[in-house]
Amino acid sequence: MSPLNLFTVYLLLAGAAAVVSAALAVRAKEDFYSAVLLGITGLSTAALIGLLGYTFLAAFHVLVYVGATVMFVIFGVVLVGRGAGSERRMTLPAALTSVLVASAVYVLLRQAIVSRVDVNLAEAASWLFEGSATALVFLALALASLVVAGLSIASGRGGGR
Amino acid sequence: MMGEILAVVSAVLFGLGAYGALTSRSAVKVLISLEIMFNGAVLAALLLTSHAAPGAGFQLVLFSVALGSVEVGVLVSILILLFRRMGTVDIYQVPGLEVVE
Repeated sequence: MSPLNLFTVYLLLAGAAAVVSAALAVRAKEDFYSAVLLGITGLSTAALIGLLGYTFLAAFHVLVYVGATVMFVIFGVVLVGRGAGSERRMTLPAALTSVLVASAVYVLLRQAIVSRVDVNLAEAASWLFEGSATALVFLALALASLVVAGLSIASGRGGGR
Repeated sequence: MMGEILAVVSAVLFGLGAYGALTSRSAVKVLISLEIMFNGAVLAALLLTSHAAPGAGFQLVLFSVALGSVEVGVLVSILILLFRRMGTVDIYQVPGLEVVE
């Protein structure tokens, strides 16, 4: 058994923070606290990403995901007000399902790590970013139209009742 | 060791998010649970590509985080509209999603 070095301790601390804050976010009674705890989960995930060696990506995750997305959720919660209550339904089937899902993800990841499966995403990425610039432009336009559609829906100009 | 820890964290985040999304009544809580699942998926993608193609994983996650931000914006807009029309964000009171006892 290998001794714990400082890197592993940091990894364990960040992983524990991510798991605990995610569990508290799911269990919290108020939506506002859930949103704040989601921000802590995002920060812990960014720490894990940084420990993996992707420091720029960790900074991007903090700035864009925690700084913008989570803040957007928090302001949405503030606009909406109190949540729909903390009553839960189907807790046992949901717990069983989530345990099965988590086990499946773990087995998949472990198998991929152990057998060192070559995902070969480099080829896919070069195809996406170098060979399909036009498709990326269309994707950017689609994202922009999604934002416009979301704003239109929120303002209530989408027709309906 | 590092791969083991990240695989466990990723799987637990994914499972916790699935549990919250399946059991919550509040649409905001469902959105937050889905975001927790997204964090697990980001970790899994980076873990899978860290050995074979680190640059590809970097680009993939950069892209997905940007896409996730836009998706959250649209979903929050829909939640605000739901609240304006129904006066609640309880998904069991949305027409068509009511619980039949």
